Amino acid sequence: MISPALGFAARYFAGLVAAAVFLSTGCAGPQSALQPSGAAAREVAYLWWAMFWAGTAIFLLVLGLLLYASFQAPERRWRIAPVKMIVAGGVVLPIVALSILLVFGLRAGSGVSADLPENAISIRVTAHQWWWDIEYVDHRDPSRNFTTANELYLPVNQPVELLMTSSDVIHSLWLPRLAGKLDLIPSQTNRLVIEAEEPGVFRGQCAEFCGLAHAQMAFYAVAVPQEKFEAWAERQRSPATPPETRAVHAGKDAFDASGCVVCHTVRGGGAWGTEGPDLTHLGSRLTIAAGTFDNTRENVAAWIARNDDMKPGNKMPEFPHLDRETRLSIAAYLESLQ
Amino acid sequence: MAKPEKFAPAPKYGFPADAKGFLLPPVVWAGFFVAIYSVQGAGCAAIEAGYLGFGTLRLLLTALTVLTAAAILVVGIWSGLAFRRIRRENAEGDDGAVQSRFLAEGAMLSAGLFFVATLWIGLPIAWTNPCGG
Amino acid sequence: MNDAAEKFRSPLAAEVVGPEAEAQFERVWEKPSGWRRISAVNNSVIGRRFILTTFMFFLAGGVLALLIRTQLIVPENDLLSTEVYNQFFTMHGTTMMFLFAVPMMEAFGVYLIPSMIGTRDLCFPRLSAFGYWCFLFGGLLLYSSFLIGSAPDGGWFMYVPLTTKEFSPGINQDFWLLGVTFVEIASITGALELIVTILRMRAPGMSLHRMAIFAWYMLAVSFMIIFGFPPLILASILLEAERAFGIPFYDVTRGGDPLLWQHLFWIFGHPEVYIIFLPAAGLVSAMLPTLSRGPLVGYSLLVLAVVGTAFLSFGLWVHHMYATGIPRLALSFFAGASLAVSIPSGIQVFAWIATLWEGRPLLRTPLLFVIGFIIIFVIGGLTGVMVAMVPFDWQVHDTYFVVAHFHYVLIGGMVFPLFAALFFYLPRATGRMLSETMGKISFWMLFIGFNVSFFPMHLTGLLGMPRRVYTYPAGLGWDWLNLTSTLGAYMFAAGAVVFVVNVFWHVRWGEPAGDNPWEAGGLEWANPSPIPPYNIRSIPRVTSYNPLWDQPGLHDRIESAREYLPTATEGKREVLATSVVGAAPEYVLRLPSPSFVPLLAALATAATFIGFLISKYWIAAAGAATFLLILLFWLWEEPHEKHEKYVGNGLTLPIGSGSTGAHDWLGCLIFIFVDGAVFASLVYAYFYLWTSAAVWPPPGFAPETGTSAIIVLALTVLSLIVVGLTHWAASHHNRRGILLGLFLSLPVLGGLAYALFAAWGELPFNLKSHAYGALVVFIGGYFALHVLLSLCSALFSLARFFIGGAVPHKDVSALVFTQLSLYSAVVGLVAFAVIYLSPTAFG
Repeated sequence: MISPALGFAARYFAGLVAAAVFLSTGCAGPQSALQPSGAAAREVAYLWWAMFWAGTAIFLLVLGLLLYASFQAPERRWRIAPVKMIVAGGVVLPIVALSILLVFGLRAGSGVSADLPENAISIRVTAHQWWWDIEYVDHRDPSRNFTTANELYLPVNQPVELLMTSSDVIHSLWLPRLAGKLDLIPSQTNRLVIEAEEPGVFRGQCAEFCGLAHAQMAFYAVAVPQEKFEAWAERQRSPATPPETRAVHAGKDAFDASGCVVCHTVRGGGAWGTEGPDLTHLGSRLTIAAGTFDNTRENVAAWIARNDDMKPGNKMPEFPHLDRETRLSIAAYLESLQ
Repeated sequence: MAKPEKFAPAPKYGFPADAKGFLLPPVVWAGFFVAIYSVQGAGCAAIEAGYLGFGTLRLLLTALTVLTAAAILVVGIWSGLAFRRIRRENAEGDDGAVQSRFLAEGAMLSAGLFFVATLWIGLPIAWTNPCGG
Repeated sequence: MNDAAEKFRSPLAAEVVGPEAEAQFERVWEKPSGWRRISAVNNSVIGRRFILTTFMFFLAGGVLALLIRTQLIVPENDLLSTEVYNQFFTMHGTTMMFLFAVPMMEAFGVYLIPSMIGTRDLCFPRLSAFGYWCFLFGGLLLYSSFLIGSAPDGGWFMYVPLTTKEFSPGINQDFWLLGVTFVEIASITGALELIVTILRMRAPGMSLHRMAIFAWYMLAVSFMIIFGFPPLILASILLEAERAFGIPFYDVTRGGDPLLWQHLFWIFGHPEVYIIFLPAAGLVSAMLPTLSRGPLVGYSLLVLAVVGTAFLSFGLWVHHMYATGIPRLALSFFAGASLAVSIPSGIQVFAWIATLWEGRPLLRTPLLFVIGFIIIFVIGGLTGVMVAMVPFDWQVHDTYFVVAHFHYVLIGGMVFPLFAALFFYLPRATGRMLSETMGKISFWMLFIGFNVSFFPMHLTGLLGMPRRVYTYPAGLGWDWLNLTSTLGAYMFAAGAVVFVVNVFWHVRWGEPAGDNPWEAGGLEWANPSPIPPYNIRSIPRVTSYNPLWDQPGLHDRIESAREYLPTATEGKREVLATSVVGAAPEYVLRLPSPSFVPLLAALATAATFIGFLISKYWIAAAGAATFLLILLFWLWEEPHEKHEKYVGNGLTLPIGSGSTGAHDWLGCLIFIFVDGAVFASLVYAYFYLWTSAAVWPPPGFAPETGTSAIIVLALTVLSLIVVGLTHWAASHHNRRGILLGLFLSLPVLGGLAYALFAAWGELPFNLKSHAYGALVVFIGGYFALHVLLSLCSALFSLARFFIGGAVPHKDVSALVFTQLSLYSAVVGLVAFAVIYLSPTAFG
């Protein structure tokens, strides 16, 4: 009777040990909630490890009792008062453990709704199927507002507030290494305070199913020191760089002639469309198509012709009739928009 | 024709050792839950419109929790006493008394569960902004 | 007590049933054969069909899961397109929830409950059959969407606005809304009759404190279905109305709110998780004493756990909405309730361990599945506590961590007990045992495959992988985790295949099972296997929790027809109706014979749903009208040929009952609970939109309390007086008073319907311009519908008394009328307060 018990237990414990080993080594990742770089995420990671070890202890206790009760020969078992055991394990244990958890667990990560000083950076995020419109807001001087897309620049060690809504369906903004997620819901503005505690590039992704290209609705947060952030913001605020070379000029002409301006904005470049992302400083961004492809000339040219293969369902029309030269020159123009 | 069998038609004891007593704690809790959810929702709307202050709302929510917990506690103690009395008076319990004892025990146990549930739900009022994010 | 009961069972008390009576009994309960089999209504036939059909859907849902896992086996895979993937994961969730888990557990209730509580069928056998056909047609309707390549693709949770006409113009979501609502009819009918059966048809002496534990679980679960499903039905009706006719409820541009859908969906959705888990836990509690050869430990604590879970599960819904921006304190209420619900689960787990500890466990396949269940379920419960913590949930919500969590809870909590129960109870249906060897192989493959597949997902989620993505880029640390999960899923599927092979094998080659192969103590084993259509030969007096263990000779007395109702001399199917708490015999309850009516009614219902689906509303109207006609025919019954009969053991009981509390009266009451939950959801929608609106009612929308509104109010109060009179007369079985009351109610209700119509005309807005107006019309319309229903009920009752030969003390139709119209008046008063008073009172 005892040997199957041991075999059973051995198999399960081996699994647990293996799991524990890889848990301690395999928790890092560009989008890992367990490699926190922000205050809110760090507190939640602590909460997770506390719950993980407490949960493991409770699980092992229950598993031990269960296997003992099932496999130990009945005449060799300890005598117990069964109802007392139910009360101890099923009533007292949860009440004690969960009371502690309630008091400490619910308070973790409350910084995401903290009040901020008036001069704090405020960013309006509007989700669209399937990209992020990002507007940096200056509450004192609205003329200093500027718009970008799919990339969030943050100064290190400074809490910033995101004011989030959606123009179509429900989305959810999630930057696991900085904070938990919060939904973007049409007609409602949700506020999330995030803070990066170290410089770095953090991947984020839409977490609420939002239709065809839900899987490819990512973005990046770039945390940089304060002075770099100021420089970046100043450049973003300025209008687009006018074409300097003949090739780029040709690209701009093709961009204007092909109808791109109907949906996209290039501030100072004569494009005022609002259906798609603002391209005023596209050249300065890491990725295109909402964090889906590296921002290279080749990728942009390919995107113009056959974006539906690259990101199925996305709402930009394809321009397969444009020849490769034209597409590359448009890409060169966009690349010049630093 | 044989003599008909006897059945205990109903529990021997009244409230709280009956079906009503058995269901009272969860029903009180359900009412409390609806109330605290509605008061919080309506209260925050009222604060936004300027009819109510944060302190008043917090006081209302706390009072709701404490009153509910007290009510459930009373039912629990009452049914616990009834349970002990039935056990004492019916050592060899006939069927009607056993039914009553079961219902009293159930009322006592469910009062315990819903007492804890009420406290856990109300506890965060102590440190949470009643309307904040 | 036991001795006293046994004394009444002296040999003198037993009357011998002759061969003729024996043959007649068999004939009365015979199943129809040949093509007439579709008219069968017995619970054992319907239950078996139900279990088989749901198992087919389980396999279909499993195939979808394997395709999903195969798509995710490597990053950037292109096996499935995003359109197809979205349809597959939507249908996987929808199938497993609506076409497998809930109906499978109810099917077990339908199949097992009557014999566990010592009776011969459910109290409304034709309703069981109707439920089955609705389930089958609804499921086929849902799956037919694949034939035209337009399966639902909005997720099983169907969040708006993604599923509104604007963002989902195709027919996909209509398939979901109509198909799922159709299927839910079956859940509700099943729940309704399980409640009445458990409360009113237990074997004499099976009082609540010794009721079969599975009956406690099913009773609680049925009540949860009664109150939990209506919010989703209402939410679906509102969404379908918005999609089909442009009546706004969720549209933000016209005063609607997308979160309204989420609230209504999860008020259903969270209890639903327990609606799935509790019956499975109930099967475990039912099997465990037998499997551990000892008593069930902590009966009262288990009952508390079940009742406690049933209530608490309605206070958890917002924990699916932590990330929607609801104020932190409101979230805390739901976090507290979510923690509280783990106490009942803890009680159950330790009660099972204690039961094993006190017994001599029989280490056969069902027990292995039970042990596997407890292990997996405990892990799922612990991660459940974690996700109840608001800040932690903000990280893992909508990630693979949650996918892991709920598969631990649902597969661990429901599929493993299901396999245990199939292994345990199939011999009762087929008369043969399943293979232990194949059983153990399938257990280990399922157990290991499950953990290999789902355990890594906890980490996948923590590493940042969201749910519902059809592909993912390489290099985020998710690759090998997904590969492992997919391989584990294959192993799990292979284990399921071994189980299915075992089932096929045992029907033909399994060892003969004998009457009670597990030597169990419950009444469900007090009959030969395979089980006869009447479940139990005679209905015993029960004096213990495990009657077959503790009441010596009981099995023989039941089998030799020496207990109650041993014959069917009037050629009618009969069972005993007993009292709610103490199970004392009260009257003889006559059950209907096989009938085609349920099938026809379900076909008419199907026509209604299909009419809506294809936007041919005349088909829908014709279907609904046909259904009503069939329903009247269905409810019409002939008066009994005599008033009382001798049921054995010295006891003579009346046949049928015309009092409050009679089974059909109780059935109607439960129906009113369902109806009331729909109405409460509608009122909730009104107040919910109010709290999220800046101005309510919108400028120019406030209705004036005009003449028609006052007349409506006056007539509603008048109808209360007439109903009170009728009720008094009906409870005193006073024929003249009943007729007077019914006649008086006709002009009152007719006038009320007309006044409502006039009040509608006075509303100062267009139905489609704002959610406020749409809700006002729906709330008022709901009242109007119930006035018409009461009118039908009054006419029906009059017909019963004038041409049906009904006598007041045997016919509940008048009491059903008073119950229905009392409820209708309450709806009217609430509607009046909401529409005319609330804007001025709180505005």
